[in-house]
Amino acid sequence: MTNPRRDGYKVSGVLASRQPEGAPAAPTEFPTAPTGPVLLAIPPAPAPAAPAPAAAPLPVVRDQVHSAEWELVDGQVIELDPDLIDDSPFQGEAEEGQRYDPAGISELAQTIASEGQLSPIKVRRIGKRFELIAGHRRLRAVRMIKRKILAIIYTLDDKSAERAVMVDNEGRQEKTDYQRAKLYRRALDQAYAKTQNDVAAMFATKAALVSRRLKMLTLPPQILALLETTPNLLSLTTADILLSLVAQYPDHLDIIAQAAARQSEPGATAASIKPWVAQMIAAKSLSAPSQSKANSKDMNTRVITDASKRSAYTARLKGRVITLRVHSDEVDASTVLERVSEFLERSVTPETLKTETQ
Amino acid sequence: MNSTNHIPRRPAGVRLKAAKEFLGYVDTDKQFRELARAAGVELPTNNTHKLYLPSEIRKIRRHRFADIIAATLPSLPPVMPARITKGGTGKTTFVGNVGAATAHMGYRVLLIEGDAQGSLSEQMGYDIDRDDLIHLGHLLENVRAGRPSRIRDAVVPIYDDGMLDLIPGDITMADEGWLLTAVGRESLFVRLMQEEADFFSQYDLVIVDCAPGTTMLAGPIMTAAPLVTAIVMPEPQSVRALKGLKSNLKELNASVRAHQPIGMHIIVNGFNAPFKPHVDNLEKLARDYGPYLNNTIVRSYVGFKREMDPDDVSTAMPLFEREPLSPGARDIVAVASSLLTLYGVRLRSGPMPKPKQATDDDLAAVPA
Repeated sequence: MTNPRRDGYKVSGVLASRQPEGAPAAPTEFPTAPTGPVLLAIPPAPAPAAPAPAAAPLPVVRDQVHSAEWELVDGQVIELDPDLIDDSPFQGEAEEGQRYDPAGISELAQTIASEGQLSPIKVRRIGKRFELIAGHRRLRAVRMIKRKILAIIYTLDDKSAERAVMVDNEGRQEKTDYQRAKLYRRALDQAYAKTQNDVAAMFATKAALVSRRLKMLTLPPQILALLETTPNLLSLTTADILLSLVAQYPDHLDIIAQAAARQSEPGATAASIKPWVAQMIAAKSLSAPSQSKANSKDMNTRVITDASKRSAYTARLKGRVITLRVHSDEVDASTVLERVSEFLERSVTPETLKTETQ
Repeated sequence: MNSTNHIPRRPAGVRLKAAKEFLGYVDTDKQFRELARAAGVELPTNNTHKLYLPSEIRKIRRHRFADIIAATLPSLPPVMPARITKGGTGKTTFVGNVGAATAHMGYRVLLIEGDAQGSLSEQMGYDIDRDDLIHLGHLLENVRAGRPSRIRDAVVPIYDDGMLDLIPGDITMADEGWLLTAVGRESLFVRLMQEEADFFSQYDLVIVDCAPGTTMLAGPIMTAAPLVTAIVMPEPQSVRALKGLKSNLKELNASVRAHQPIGMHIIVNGFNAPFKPHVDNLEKLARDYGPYLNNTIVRSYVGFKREMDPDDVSTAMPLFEREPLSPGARDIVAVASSLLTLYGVRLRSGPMPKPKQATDDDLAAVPA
């Protein structure tokens, strides 16, 4: 403590004047400090199902030739050459994009390099090679530092392997409600689970959550398309709000989809959706007559907005003439023309435009 | 009540003087700033005070003691249960504040709610009024059933730099009847930690706020700890309640912890010097439990009563964060640093915690 004046209040300070001289020491029935190692040890690996000889060294599978020599027991932990392991075909692409970011993997690699691999990955045997069930990130990390990888071997058929990958993926914190919903749907479609209660038991969650997540999939296709690109866009609560809005305003799905898209903006709250949609629908019905006229006249008008959703440009196509109107006073129209021509010259040839309709 | 505004929150951070104190740094301020820069902490270029965030203190600590940390063996963090059979002695307040203080000292801390009232969760600003909360009871039940524990779904980040996390609890924790028939229930918490070693070894310290009374969850939690920290007020009922704790300890030390008996540590809380009975009872505590007493007394301080607005949980936060320079916070800092030594808390190697974003589960608290 750098400032004793501000130090904590001490027992000795209170008792100094009151403790009788030579007071007998209090008996100590329990230890007053840790009596042994404070830290619990991490068990080296989950115990294999079958009783194995305690001190037997781990079999090391060095290459394909040697691998055949080992009698590999189900549930056994062995050291494997990472090159002998193939990715699971059941690992969805959705997982790959987000979880295999190089920075995260190299961080994991560093951890494994400094602390060792704390938990073995799970694999199943396919001929002389192995297929991954769980540990896609760890495998990539170990490949990076060129080490052997600890793995538990399971004997699984395709169906059980897919199921295992599913359950393992679901248990991760990064999974969003939408991804979980899709996973539940797949489990139901593949008949791994018959009812929502079965799904809940399979993924160790509550039946209520299963049904709420599955309900997400009944959102209109525009919103599902948004979720496909940004799975973490909507929480369960937000999805519930959107579903209630869909029921309330079935004619305004586009506005509801816009409201969903706005959730990706910073500071967006679930609570603001309802009032926003109501406001937009009210505004639309007010301006509806004039707008519908304008729409029917020229379908090919586009309003281009800036980051704060104010209209910045209007582009209009009439026959083969494109008119571009610049709204903001701060923007120099001649510069815009220059940039557009530059863009057309540089990147767009008549050839590329032929294939694009409209 | 919108808990998304508040959790995960940016921790308050501490000024240079406190940062130096937490790191035990005695050289000049200028040298300290150089050290911070060398550790990769960004300092403001204009003339404003730098507030050192927990993650930045951790960075400096790791930079400064790199050789010691490299030698740390991979193992699980120590468990500190705050327990006493009497209610209202300030366990929860203590756990929340010591958690915030140790995080600001650069240690990565996991708080676990062990009380079905959920008061620790609320004190940290987490609204427990939701249907998808996963608590310690669920985790242990999963371990017992051989299912994945789902601990990563249970954890709630309190600080956005990953330095303080919480496993919340609510009234459904009171439904612990399943433990009655669980064979080997005292070892369940240890098993949870070992099965989720990956998860637990991210932290330097695990603090559990136990429920008053003798609940069945208390056994497994105490079994995992080197020492049980009792929070006692210098008042007759509270002093007598230590007997209940002692009998629990005796039983555990005669059975599951016979190989390495659990110790006891006592912190006096809510001391008010003008109250003669407080001084008398403190004297009694010193006489009967002298060797177990922490040197520092946590005084009765009005700031502890300001931690939460009963109408709006979302603004709740521990005194240490709200009023870091108050006498109450000073007592907490002194107690927290003595506990770090006592429990042998060490900075662990491994990557720095990643900043966290609010998860969907946090958003679930937003009323429709």
